[in-house]
Amino acid sequence: MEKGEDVMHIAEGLLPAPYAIAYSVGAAIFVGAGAKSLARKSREIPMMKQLTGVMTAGVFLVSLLPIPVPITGTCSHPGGTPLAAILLGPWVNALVSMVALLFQALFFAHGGLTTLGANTLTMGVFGGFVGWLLFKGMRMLKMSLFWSGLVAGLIGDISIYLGTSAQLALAIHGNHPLSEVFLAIFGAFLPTQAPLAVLEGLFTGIALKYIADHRPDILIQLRVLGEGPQPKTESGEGAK
Amino acid sequence: MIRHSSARMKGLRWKSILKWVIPGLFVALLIYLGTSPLSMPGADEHVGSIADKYASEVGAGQRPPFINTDKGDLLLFVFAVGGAVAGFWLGYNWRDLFAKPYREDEPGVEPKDESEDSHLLRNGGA
Repeated sequence: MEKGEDVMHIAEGLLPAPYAIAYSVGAAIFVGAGAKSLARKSREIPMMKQLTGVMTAGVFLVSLLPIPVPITGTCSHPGGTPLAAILLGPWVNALVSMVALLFQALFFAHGGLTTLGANTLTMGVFGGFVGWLLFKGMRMLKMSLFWSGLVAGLIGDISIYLGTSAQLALAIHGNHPLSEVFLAIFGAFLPTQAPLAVLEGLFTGIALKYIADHRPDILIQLRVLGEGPQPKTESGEGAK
Repeated sequence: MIRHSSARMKGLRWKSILKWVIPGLFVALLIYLGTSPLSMPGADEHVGSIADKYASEVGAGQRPPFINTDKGDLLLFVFAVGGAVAGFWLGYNWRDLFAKPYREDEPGVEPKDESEDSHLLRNGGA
């Protein structure tokens, strides 16, 4: 593997120091709130810590996995954070993303320590909050669990790369117009990322449907499903 | 009733077909990718080169990570170990959380109300 081939988050050193610090401070606020939210939820929901561990491993794996996109001849990875945000809540998701990204930055030459804050903001905060808000919105519109998850995963994934492009453009546009740098970066991401966003949407929808079919009580405890007659059968007829 | 069971049979048939079609397509894709001349670089190699051009103008730019495991096959080894550890952790706990059947006496799960109907049902309607 040559240098740069696996760098799918913002690479080490790419951000000027003031921006790296500002993004880190911004991310720290969300991560701190996530730690507080995790402590509170762990008292209320017995399996919360175990589920957080599972989702951390999931986000770590998914965001490290280069998936080839034959149409463009390149590869990239999904984020995994929309699903984590739907299950754990968007604040805990920021903490989960930071831990996953820290391991990647330390041992996998993937991202960087100076860009950890920026990457946490995009993957954990943009991707997580957009996915979570969309999911809640779709559920309020009475969409099924699968379709709500699909839309949340798809748009949530794209929002990660919109966020990355915006962060980079803000930090490094210099004398160039902000929009020029933003469009150049996002335009380079989009052809590879769009098919993967569809994949992430499908994955999010299927995962939610699977859990609703097998353990609807967990979704009720996590307040993903409202309490009511949903948890009914293995086929998930009640858990739409 | 008959229409319902026929739709159910159709659904099951589709499920059993998809069970073979999806892995088949996956294997075909792997064979195609493995034998094609495509180099499949990371998307960020392309993005990184664009961003690096602008970053160098403001005095920043990509540099090697603090702990640089990108040396020969070391990174492949680290990826294999990391993937295996995270995969086993994920799989074991996923099975523990989601594969076991729902139990009402599970800690933290509120027991269902003991209504008169359920009591009657349990006792054979007597």
